Amino acid sequence: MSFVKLINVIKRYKMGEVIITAVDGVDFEIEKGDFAVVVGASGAGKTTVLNLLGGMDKLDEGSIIVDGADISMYNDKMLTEYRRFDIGFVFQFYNLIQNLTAKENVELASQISKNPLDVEMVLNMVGLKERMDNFPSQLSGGEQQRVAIARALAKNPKILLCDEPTGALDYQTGKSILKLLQDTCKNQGMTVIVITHNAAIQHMADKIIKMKNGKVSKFMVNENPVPVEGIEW
Amino acid sequence: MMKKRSFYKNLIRSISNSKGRFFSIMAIVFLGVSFFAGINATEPDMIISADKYYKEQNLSDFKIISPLGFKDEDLTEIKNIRGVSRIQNGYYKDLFLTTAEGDIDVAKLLSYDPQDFKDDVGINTPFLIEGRLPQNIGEISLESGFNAPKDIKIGDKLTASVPSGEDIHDGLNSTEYTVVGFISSPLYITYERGQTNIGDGSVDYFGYIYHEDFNMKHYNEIYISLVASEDHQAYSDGYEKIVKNPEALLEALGIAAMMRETKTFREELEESRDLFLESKAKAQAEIDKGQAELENAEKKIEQGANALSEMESRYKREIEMGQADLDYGKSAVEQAKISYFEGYAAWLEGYNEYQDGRMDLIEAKSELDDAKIQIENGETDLENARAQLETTQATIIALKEIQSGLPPEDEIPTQEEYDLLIEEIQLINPQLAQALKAYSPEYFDRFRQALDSSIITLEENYAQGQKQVEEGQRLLDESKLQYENGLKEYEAGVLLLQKAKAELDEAKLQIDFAKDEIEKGEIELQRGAQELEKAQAELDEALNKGYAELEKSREDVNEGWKIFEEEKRDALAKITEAEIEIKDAQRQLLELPKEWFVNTRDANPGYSSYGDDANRIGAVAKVFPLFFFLVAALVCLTTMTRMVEEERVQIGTLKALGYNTSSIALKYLAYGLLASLAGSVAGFLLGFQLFPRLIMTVYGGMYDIPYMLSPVHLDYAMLSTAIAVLTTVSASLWASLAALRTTPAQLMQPKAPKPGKRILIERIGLLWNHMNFTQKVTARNIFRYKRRFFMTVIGISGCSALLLAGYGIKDSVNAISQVQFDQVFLYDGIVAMDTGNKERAELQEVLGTNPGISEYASAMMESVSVFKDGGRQFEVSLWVPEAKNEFANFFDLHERVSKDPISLGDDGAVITEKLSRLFGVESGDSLEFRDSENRVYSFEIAGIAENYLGHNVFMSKEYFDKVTLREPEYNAGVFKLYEDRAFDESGFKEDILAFEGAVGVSLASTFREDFNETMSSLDYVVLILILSAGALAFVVLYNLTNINITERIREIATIKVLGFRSREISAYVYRENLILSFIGTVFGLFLGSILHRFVMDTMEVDNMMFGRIISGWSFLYAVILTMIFSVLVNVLMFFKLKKVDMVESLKSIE
Ligand SMILES: Nc1ncnc2c1ncn2[C@@H]1O[C@H](COP(=O)(O)OP(=O)(O)OP(=O)(O)O)[C@@H](O)[C@H]1O
Ligand SMILES: [Mg+2]
Repeated sequence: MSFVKLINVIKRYKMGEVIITAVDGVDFEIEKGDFAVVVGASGAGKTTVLNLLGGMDKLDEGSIIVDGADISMYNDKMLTEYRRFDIGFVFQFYNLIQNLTAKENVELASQISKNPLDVEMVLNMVGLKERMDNFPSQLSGGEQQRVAIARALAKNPKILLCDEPTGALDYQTGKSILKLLQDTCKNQGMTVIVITHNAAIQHMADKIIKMKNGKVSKFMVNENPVPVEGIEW
Repeated sequence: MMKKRSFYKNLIRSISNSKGRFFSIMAIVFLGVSFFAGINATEPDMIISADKYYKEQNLSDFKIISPLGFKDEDLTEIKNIRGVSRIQNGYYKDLFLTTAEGDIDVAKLLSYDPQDFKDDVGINTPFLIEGRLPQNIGEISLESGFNAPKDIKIGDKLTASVPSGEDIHDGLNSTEYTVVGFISSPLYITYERGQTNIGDGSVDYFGYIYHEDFNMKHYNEIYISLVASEDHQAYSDGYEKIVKNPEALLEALGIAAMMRETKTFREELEESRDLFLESKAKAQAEIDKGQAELENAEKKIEQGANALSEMESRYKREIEMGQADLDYGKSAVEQAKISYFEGYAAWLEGYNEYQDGRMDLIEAKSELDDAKIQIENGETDLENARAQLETTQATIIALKEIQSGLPPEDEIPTQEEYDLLIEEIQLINPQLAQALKAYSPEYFDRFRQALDSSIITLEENYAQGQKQVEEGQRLLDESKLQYENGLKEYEAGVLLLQKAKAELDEAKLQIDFAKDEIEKGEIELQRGAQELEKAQAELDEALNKGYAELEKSREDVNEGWKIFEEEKRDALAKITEAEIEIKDAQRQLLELPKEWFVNTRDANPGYSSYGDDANRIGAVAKVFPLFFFLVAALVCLTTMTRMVEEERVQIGTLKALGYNTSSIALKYLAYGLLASLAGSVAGFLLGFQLFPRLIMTVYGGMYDIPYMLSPVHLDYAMLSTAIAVLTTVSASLWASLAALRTTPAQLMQPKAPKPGKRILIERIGLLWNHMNFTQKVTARNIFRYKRRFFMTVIGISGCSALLLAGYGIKDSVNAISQVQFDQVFLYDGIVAMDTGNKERAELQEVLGTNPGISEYASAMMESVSVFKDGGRQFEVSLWVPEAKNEFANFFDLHERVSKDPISLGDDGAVITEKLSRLFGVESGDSLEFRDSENRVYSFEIAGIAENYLGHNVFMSKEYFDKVTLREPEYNAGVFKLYEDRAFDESGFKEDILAFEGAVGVSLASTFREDFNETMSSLDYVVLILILSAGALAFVVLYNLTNINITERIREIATIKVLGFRSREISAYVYRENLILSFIGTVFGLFLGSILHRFVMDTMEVDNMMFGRIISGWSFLYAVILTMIFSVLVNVLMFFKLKKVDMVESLKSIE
């Protein structure tokens, strides 16, 4: 059985009289240690799927099975525990806590984890050991995103979910962030799912999920993923 | 048009989108305005209500009482005073009224003349509550309310009586009165009914009877109305002003009238007083004189004794000196004797020597004489030898001549020639001749030879003789010299001897003289000793005589003293008598009324204390609600600012779309205006009704004022609305303008997050390193968001300050009852005795025999009015204990702060603390009091005792006597009950009142309960304060926490995504809130203490003193309540936190 399995996931939003089906029967499977990429047009439902997968939102129909557990059956409390121990989340806009230093932001996550990674080690991994006592406002966007990744990694989650992690970054920085994610995936054997608008990134992924109108329009398995260095866009 | 519509739409959407915020602003403004406006309106509302009542019932401006009654001339003169519109004469009488059930009360009966009240012009019109006013003899309308006898109703009968010794018909016609109605009077709006000179000294209730029931010669009470009083509100400055002049005039009139009435009597009294003063002075002078004389005599004796002993010592000294001289003389004589004997011995020796010398001289003389004879003999011998020598020489010469004549050698002389030669030789030297004869001239050679030989021999002999003579001569001369020397020596010896003799004789003379002297000295000594003895004897005699004389005069003086003492006793008795007379005269003089009692409305305790209470509320209103209001305004300000900040993107968008600044700002202005205006209007509309009515209702328990007016006060409405609207609107304007100044692009950009910073305590490694992660985050957040910090701290401190002040007021009030009844009033009850009743039982019987009473003491208790310089007067209980040391068991008089006990001395009274504060007096100052008989005395303050309830003045009986020149009449017994014995109140009272002369029993416990009941109205005021403060606390906290959460929604969403559990999230947010609440609370406690102090100082009523200490419990309550509110708000917020949508809030940066 796959590590992550979505079965006919449907998510609807009620906007007064109108019901918007943001995710309309999505099915896909991802194996442990996969580097998966979700691509699709704006409004296709990528973020919604990721949020559902991350336990931040509840689905209306279908089920999501992560490591053998059906999280669609979880109540709020269980979802919190799920997020706490199984999920690492990286946002497009970093969402660091301004009032905490880089290290403290990472600690914020690691202190609630069962088997956290060493904070300084993780910061070293993302190349920010020297900047760990800086506040977010003292860091560049890329550095902030790396802190965000470190924060997600420090929890030592089962799955790392990233919603357009490079969206706000320049090409080079974006590339180095992607490399960091790919390396983490390869070296730690972590399952990483990344949303992107950048089609070029597909080539570095093990699994590519293309979405359209709330549905998976195409599911591809890339047998030969390229390291990020080899991709240009 | 379109624009406008979308503006309204936007506005309405803005409001409906943030209903919570809009309503919280409204609610805060509502609370602030209603409290501010309402509390501020209370003072004017109270006064308006009272004023309406006073005007309706035509409350008199003056009430004057004459101790001797008013004469017609007085009435006309009063009427003629400028400004007086109307006067109304009346009678009053204090007496006992007994109900059918047998309850006796002291009542004040006032006269009611329906004529006075025709055409609605009567003064002090009774306010009819039930039934009607008296229209006939024997009818009475009683006051309604709790003062009147219990359960009395129309138709009941009351029996009037007066203290024994008085005649009821001395003033009243009827003795039985039927109740025909119930009224209240503007004259008596409080529970105080004034003091009286009967019963326990205070009036229980009043009532009106028909004027013809009084049969007094003169009116004793006059009510006066002024023309101008209609135009002035009661208690106003204007009113005070119009009363001044008439008051002075009335007082002057009163003094003149009293002078007129009391003149002759006063003169008589003064005369007799002076007479007695004189006789007292005379008696005193005599005593003084006798005393002086005796003392003088004593002094003289003393002097005599002194002189005598001085003399004695002096003579003794002299005798001693004589004796010493004598002794000295004796020893001198002894000495002289010794030296005489020595001299005599010396002389004797000298004499013997002299005798020896003389013998020697005589011997020497005879030797000299012998020597002289020998010398003479020797001279003769020498003469003879010389003569022989001369003969020899002559022979030799002759022989030599012969020889020379002899023939030459060979010739032989013829014998004739030879015989001629022999003859010639014969003539010259027979012997030779003889010898030659033998030779014949043949032999002539032989002859020659023989002659030659003989010449030779002769020459030899001569030389020999010569030599011998010379030798003899020399010897003689020698002897002669010797002799002469001896003679000389002898003569010198004789001379010497003679001198020695003379000396000896001289010495002898001297010795003899000395001897004489000695003998003489001895005689003198003897005589001296005799004289001394005589002198001693004389002295002894004289001294004995002197002492005897002294002793005698002493006895005389003692006798004199004895007589004097007797005389003095008599004189003193006379003086005491005179003094009593003098005191009596003086007392009567002192008691002679000197003036009318001109009472303005201020003298009416109800009137003035009502005004004071209103003032007090006004004073409280100056700070308490303002404080409240400021907190509210502050929160509005924060909320509006926050709102504008939240909507900056929208502002930016609108601006980018081309809306101009004013139209955008207008939205926020309108929002703020709408919220604050709505809140304000609702606030003052409710506040003007709620608070004045609430407080007046509370005071209604104490004041009998039938109206309760609570109009809208435009000034306070405008003021509070203006403050509320201005703060809110200007906050929104300021915030939106600040936002609008920036370009739309900037606005639409996410506002740069406030950069993280290190805070101060991070530098304190020791502290920082010991904090755990969340603590660090909390600390950083607290110190980072300064505005939030201050807003929360100020808001919460305001709330806890209000709460603490509220509870503190309660404490201060409660302190009264606790300290008063547990620490000051140690007695359990008081029995009033009718001192006019000659048959009355002794206190010993009444109290001493009661099994429930553990101890009791007798005292005088009188209700008096105390005042200073004719100013405000206060009803005070005057206590004069019979035994002042016992009294301390019933009244613990002590200084409040130091707890030092105060004892009653002979030179001043002890007054209670509040009284001293009201007059601003301290020990050493003086006050005046007027007793129930309208006598006025001045007294000095010797001590100020802790006391909270009512006013008391304590005097020792000695001081009371000094002040009033009267003995106190002990009309009260204070007693204590056995604590452990069961107590049946009604039975106990019955037992005591069964005794003759016992007219009343009051128990401290009843007093305490009554008081607590009265004070419960204050409890409501406090409750209002606490509830208001609580409401404010809640709204403020809600708002602040709300802002806090909204500001941090992203952060909260982030940690939610990270997997923080609900509890952890709340802890993350609330820890900060709680710490801020705590800091605010602590700060608020300080503020609250100050607020409490201020409120207490202004709120205190006249007849009690509030404690100033807030109990620990109140602090605890304030803290706990604030914290509860804080927690409550946080619990409410918990759901809001739970609802924070991670997906929504993290979608983008807003
Ligand atoms: N909270 C919501 N309420 C209503 N509709 C929503 C909500 N969230 C998403 N949608 C709708 O669901 C659809 C999918 O949205 P989603 O955010 O998943 O798109 P997306 O693929 O992530 O787009 P993009 O690339 O622009 O981020 C959209 O049409 C959107 O309007
Ligand atoms: Mg998206």
